[in-house]
Amino acid sequence: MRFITQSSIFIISFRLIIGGILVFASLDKISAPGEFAQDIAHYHMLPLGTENLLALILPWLELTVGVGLILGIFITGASILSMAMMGMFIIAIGSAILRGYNIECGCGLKEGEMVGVGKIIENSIYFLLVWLIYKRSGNWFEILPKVG
Amino acid sequence: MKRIFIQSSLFQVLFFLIISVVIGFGSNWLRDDPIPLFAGKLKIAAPDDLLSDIATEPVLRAIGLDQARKFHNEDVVFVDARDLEYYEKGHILGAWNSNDFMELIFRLDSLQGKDRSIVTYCDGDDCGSSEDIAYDLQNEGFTKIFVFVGGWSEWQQAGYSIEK
Repeated sequence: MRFITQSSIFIISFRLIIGGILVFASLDKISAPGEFAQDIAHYHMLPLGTENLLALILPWLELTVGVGLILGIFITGASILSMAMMGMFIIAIGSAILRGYNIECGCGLKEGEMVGVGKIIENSIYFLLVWLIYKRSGNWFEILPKVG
Repeated sequence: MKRIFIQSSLFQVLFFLIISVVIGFGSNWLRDDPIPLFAGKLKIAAPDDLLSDIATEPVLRAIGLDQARKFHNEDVVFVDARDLEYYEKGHILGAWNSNDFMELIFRLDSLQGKDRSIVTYCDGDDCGSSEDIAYDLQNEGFTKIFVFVGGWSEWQQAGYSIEK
């Protein structure tokens, strides 16, 4: 894996891919937080109606972290939060599958996508790419923080 | 010292979190249709909600098996919110499928107008599509909607009328 983390081409490509996916996934959720809150509620994982809080914060976190990855702002923090989000998605989808739920995943990438093993594999690949960004050995095209 | 702090992972994580919380709450506050910070559960129908078939004020409430059975006996329209393939495998006797939403609202409006009772259901306690379609119907102007929470599973287990 070291040749990947030492390659500016790989790391910048991964930043653009993951950043682009996060920004794209956030747009529908930002425009309709009520619908996203219902998607979250179908997982039956959050107590006390807190799905609305998550529906208000998570899309903006995806957007800001995605923009951070694309523009090169606080890449370390952005990659830690991206890993946390991907991990959370994997656990939520896995838990829904184990409980036999046939629900929309609410991922924001494609209308009507259902939970399934494919979504777990997809998020695991994203997780791996973000981990490689986190382990990068150079600060290529990073605006903040200034290094040196 | 300042540079070390800005380079720290904790600072960077907090930076994104705080910005997202502020913009998330702020944008919701500025929206025409803000959502409450905490979601409320669908309320159980009270006796007053069930008395008249015709709505005097908008109602969207949850009902149990007994009330669903009573509505069914009174020929209230049942809407099956599950995917078409599940509807075709079996559904509550006389229930309409919701696969084509525009056709559904046209049929409902033509048959009984927008102020008479409608019952929506899906698989059971854990599905959400019956509630989703109830809100969609409410957005289309239907005013008396009941979500049968136990849904298909509870109805089938009770041995009530079904068709395929």
